[in-house]
Amino acid sequence: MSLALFLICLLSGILLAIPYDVNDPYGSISLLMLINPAGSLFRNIHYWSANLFLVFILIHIWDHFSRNNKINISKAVWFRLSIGVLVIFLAMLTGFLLKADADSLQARRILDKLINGIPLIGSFFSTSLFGTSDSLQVVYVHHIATFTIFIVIIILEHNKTFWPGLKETIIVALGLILIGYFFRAPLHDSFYPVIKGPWYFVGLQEILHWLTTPQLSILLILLFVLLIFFAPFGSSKSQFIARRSLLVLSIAYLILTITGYFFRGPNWEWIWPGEKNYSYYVHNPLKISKVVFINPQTDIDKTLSSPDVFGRKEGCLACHGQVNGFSASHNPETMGCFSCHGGDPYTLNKKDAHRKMILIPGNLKDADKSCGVTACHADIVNRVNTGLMTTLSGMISVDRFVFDEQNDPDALTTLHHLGNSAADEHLKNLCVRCHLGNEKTAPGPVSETSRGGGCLACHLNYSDRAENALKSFLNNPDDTTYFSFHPSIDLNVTNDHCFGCHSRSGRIATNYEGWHETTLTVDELKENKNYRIVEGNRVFRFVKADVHHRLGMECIDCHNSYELMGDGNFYAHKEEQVNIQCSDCHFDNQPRLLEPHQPDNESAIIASLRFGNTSGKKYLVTQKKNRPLINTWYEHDTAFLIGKNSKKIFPMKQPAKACTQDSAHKNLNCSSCHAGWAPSCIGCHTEYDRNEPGYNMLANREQTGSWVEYTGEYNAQLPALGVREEGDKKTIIPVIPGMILTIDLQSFDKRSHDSLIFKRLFAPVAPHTTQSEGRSCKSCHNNPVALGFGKGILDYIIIHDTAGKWIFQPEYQDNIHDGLPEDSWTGFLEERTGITSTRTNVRPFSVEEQKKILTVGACLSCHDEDSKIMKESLLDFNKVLSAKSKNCILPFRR
Amino acid sequence: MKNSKNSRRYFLKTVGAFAGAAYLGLWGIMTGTLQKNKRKKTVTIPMNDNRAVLFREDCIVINTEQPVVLSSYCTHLGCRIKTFEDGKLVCPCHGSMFDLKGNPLKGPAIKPLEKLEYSINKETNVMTINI
Repeated sequence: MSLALFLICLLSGILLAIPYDVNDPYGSISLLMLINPAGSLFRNIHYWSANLFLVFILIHIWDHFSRNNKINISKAVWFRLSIGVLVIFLAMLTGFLLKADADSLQARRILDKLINGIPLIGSFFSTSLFGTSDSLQVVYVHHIATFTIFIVIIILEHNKTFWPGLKETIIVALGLILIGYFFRAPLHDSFYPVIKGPWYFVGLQEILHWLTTPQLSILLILLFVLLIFFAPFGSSKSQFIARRSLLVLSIAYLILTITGYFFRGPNWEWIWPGEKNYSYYVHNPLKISKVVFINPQTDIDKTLSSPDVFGRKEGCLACHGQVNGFSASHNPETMGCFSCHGGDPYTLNKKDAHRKMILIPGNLKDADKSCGVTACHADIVNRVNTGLMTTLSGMISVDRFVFDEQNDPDALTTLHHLGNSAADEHLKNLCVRCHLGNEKTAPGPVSETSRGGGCLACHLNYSDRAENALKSFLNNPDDTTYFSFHPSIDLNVTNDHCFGCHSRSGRIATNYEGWHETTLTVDELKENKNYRIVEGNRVFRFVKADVHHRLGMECIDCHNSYELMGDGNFYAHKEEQVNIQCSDCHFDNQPRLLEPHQPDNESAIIASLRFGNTSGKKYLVTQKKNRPLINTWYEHDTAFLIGKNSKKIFPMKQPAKACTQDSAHKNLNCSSCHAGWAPSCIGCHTEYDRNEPGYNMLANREQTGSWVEYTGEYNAQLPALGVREEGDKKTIIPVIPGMILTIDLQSFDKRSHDSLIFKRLFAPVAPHTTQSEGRSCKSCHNNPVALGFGKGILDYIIIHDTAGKWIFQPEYQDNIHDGLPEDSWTGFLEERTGITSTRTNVRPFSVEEQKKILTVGACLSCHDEDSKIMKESLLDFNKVLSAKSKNCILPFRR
Repeated sequence: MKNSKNSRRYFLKTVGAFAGAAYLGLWGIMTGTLQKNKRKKTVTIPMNDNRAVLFREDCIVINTEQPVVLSSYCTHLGCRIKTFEDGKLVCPCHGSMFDLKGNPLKGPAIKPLEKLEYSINKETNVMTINI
């Protein structure tokens, strides 16, 4: 049987030598697989016959030793046979190297270094076996001649004949034709993330993984050869020891081989069967992949005329050669189709080529097999999974806290941890559609209702032609124009990409453009001038756009890749992941520049792709995380910003004197004053309806039974203010009603003790409605909404000549659950304790703070805010108070 | 006669041994010459790219203000390092990790990556690396 296998291996090898090109090994094999079915079959037969030959030889040796028969051959012949086992392995290994794919190139470097490391003779051996690193010529000669001849000699010496029996040869040949027809010899490319040697080598690879001095493994190989040599000779005791040692070592190697083959993934890290992508990382040699017959009239020409991609031909490009619309970075002439779409690049059979293809690459569920392959964006794809737009940690934690399922709203969590509790069902019914892991399941451009899609959520752009071709194809599947226009995957991330998700909840995308969502329906709309209908029949009213939007800036002009795609850390809330602050661009005095540090790799590449050569530019860097702002620079004492898409250049203004020289407001976040407005919603009730047609946003399926929200009124007004405490630091920030609601928990679970939950939480907000003019003094100091009391009449009255008093008449009635007006955050001149916002470190003003603010408010009730005295009060309020006149009557005793 | 130094077998063995030794010697000369004559590779990289980590077949260019050129050969077993994950250079074969100066961070490699000499033509701003 072994002789038959060897003979067929030899004959198939001779045939393979004709199409194989030692100067273009990888390319010639890929071409053979695509347009040479006979060659492809012979390659498979060659591969399988060689592997089976090796297996049979090992079984043969085992058989010899296990029978304990005396071996009647001379030591010299047995020595050559022992060496022969090593030579058979070398013949196999050189065959593996000759395919010159990613695995082979790495294996060659490993073997070269391993043998070179043998003292004194390493270099001689290495050059003798592998020649120079830039050519496979010596390897090829050894494979087809040196080792083959040696094997023939030892077969003749051992077996006395080279010729197998005719019958068994015919049976083996037929068997190999069948195996060769169905099972393909592997060929990997540089996109495949796992680097593994052939199956008989992975045990050694596992050993090498543990050895910091890998040359020790050569001693192990020599020990194997010596044990084989000594096994049949010497005393019975020494023979026993040699054979038992051989047995133990063989079993150990078998275990290591199984470990290396089945339990090692990318970067030789451990992987369990059933883990994500296991079948992708662990090669299954028994996966059926038939030899494909071709049409010689057309297939050969179109394959030969297709471009070479990464040193080989790709069957995909033979059919899809004329496709337009790609960005320069993703041109298939340089990176093919397979690198993104998977499938099988080594066949011209349509069905086989498209099997397991990723129709819409970029979704996070398979991004590590498309965008995130090792050669492309692996680092970024790993990071995206840690970012808030994927984990939704803040949204989940706050919701669970509101449902009394968690003690605080700041716990770190991810979507993967969602279960079936009342809060988690609520999230699945109403909230968690907006996350990057939400799968894009149909082709088409990003729209106002798009949510998720992994990398595509931001980087997918359809040209008009591509969009029209898609529409045409959807109407008429016979219209193949669709296949000629591909959408672009590029860096042109526009506001439209952010809109689908960020027009909800805090609605920063619509706020930024000046639109405030109303509770109106489309039918109720009487005039359109100040209204906008967003997909999904949502009606928005125009209020006031952000000054940056009016200037033409887009979301990505402020937000960088580490904010949007995560920086590898898990964060509880968005303000922790967001890096940019107003003061990074609108700095006082000296800017923070990236010197002498240099931009990180990612920022440098993005800067290069967007703006060409920007070396020499002094980037501004963020104060929070020291990240370069690649679309800024500083020269001639001025900072500039360039629009990442628009390429418009903006000189950046320094903050006004009122912002920097004022000692009274130094704890204020810029947006406390400069936010033009913020959306707010109060009086929401949530209950579960078992008969309501609902939706599970995580599983993307319809269901009966859903949480239902009954919303109150929506307002657009100047935001309230609150205090964020970080250690000793206190910052005044804008806040809006986050969760003023009741939850009927009993409707979901009758066994629950708390049938009705009431919560009054405000939420910190980045309104994205920045105005160059700050809000007026009175809009804070004399405004009950700003102070957290809610709407109403806040009035300062003089009781008598020496005393004044603030009074507050709320607009809304007191809520029965806590006795506070519906829209308030804290009671008028009352303290509120405990967790009062959607963060543990954000609270309303204390009574002491309210009094301080209202004292200034009392002054403002008489003095104009532009008056000299009020301006002086900004610099030293106590000094102004000490010089007050008799007519000045303060509200609180000091 | 069998063990005589004048036997035919002895003669052939002796001649064979000498011929074998001579062949090995010639082989040694051939491989030695091949090694000596190994053409030195020259890699040129235009430096008008912004600062970044560039992977080439034999080298990795860490293009900072003071560029560092590292050999792409992992010091454990010579695998080509072409992956940059989490700010680290990662060897795909056995999982060794290095920082951007080439220092080993995770085994099995224990030696730093070899630093390669380079020159930069100030006029053309092209980096030349001899490998």
